[in-house]
Amino acid sequence: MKYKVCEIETITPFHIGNKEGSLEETLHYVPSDTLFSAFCNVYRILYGEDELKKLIEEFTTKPPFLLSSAFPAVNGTLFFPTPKNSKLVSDDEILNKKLKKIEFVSEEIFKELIKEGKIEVKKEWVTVDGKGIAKEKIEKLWVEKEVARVTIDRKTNASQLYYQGEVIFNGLHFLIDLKDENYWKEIETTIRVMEHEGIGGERTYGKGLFKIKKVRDIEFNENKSEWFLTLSMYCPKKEELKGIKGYFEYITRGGWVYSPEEKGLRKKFLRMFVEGSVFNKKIVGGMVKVAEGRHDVFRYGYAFPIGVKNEI
Amino acid sequence: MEEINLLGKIIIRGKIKAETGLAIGSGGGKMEIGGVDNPVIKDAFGKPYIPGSSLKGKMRSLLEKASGKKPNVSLGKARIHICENKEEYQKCIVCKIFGLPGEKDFSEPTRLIVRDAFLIEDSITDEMRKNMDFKYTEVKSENVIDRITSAANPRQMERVPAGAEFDFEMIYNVFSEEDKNNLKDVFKGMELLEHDYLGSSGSRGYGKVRFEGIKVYWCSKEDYEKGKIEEKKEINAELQTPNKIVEKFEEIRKNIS
Repeated sequence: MKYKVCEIETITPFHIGNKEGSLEETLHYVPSDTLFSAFCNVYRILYGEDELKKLIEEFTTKPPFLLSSAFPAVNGTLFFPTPKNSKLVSDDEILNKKLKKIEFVSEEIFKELIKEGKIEVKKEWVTVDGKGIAKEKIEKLWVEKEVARVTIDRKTNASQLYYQGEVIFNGLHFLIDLKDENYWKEIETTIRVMEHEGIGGERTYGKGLFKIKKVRDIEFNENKSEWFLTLSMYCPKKEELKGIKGYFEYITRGGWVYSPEEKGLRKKFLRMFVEGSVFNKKIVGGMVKVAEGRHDVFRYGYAFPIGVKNEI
Repeated sequence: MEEINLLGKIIIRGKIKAETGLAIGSGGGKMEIGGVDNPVIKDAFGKPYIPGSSLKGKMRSLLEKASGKKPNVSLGKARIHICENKEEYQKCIVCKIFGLPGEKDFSEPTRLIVRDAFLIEDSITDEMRKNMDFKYTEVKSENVIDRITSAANPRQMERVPAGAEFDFEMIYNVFSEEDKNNLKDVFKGMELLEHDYLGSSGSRGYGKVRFEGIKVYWCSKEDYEKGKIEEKKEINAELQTPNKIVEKFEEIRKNIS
């Protein structure tokens, strides 16, 4: 299958909140649900509330396109989450320990992993920060930092100190599976405006801004087996769960609603499978209603399925 | 305003020049041998920068004072102004431009985005480096003298040297005709900042900054649709300082269509 991949160059640090109320914490990639909300918010200010409602309506029945999460990219090398069923092996025991902590693998290795299910890792492939493996020499996939910030009293100039976590990328990339070609113009425009709007938190302080480097096609040598990996956060529908088996991890997502129409509303907690989880059937997922108010609020829970090898 | 629809964005770019030593603290003073007591904030590459939050916060606070807004909300020890109701908000340019906490039910998307301003490396010349203690910063010693015993109590401050320049960028969202007029206040904030200071110890001469070579771009919704953002021409002509822009704002205003 062919997908579109959008490579972006990050201009400023990102703040991708993980736990509400904790400004210090940030994720080190952009989950698909965050990316989709960012997309919807810009879509809404571009085309209006009614158009967004129509788009969401389509998504609840038949999605016109699918989004993956945005993963790190360094100097043109794209990284993908390590498939949870894959085996990274080596003879070296010290290296074997390091391999347990690998979160991302380069495009080349990812393609090999979904085809073969396992790979013999060489020592020099591990990136300097130990977060990923690539055949190219790569220092760091991202840098996390805590930055001091301050509120100054308007009368006394007394300072109130607090901290904010941020993550600095070299670049990011995400995939789009365009099912309805007619949508491409709107998608393109929205992503262009997103460049100047930003993704994630603390945007008006300059966080989360980026520039599109290029949009191109990408193809994986997908296995024709019945096993699939998801490149997005995935929330299965109830009926999908029957007889499902897999290799996975899950995460609880929460947070507050951000919308010009709706204020101070909390999203319901939702447990989702993380990127790289592998299941033994065609996974779909869907939109999940997480808040009700002046308008309904949905969380994007579609899987971004890639066929992978099952036996390992 | 009932409907929030994007008409376009205004991009403001230019340089910030430190005219006196600039000390924006990082708070995280590490205890190292040979380390400085009060380090400045640095980016991932170890270069000092001006955080967007410092720039935005300072402009907000100065505009609040300039337009006589009452500090009514406490954030810990600090009191700042945040509109309490919709009527007040409709008239408050400060809260419209700089934003409100998201949970206020009358709040709208924040108009202004201020990016971190990164150091222009060439602005620190080799000649300057000769007198500096670190690659990008100088260390200034300060002292307090006991009024009776004359005992000294010295301390050290790290600063970005005078003459350093930073690239800044701001993005201003335009949702209505009113927003186009309110843009003037952004430049007013910059003008006020030039006569105030950035960072710490401003009453002792630190942190005088100047905005130079300002370029203002108007990117309409249509430009985004056509993907013609890169080749945009600036709309401020030779008006390149906040002062000139505020003075002749009408000339820029008429280019925002």
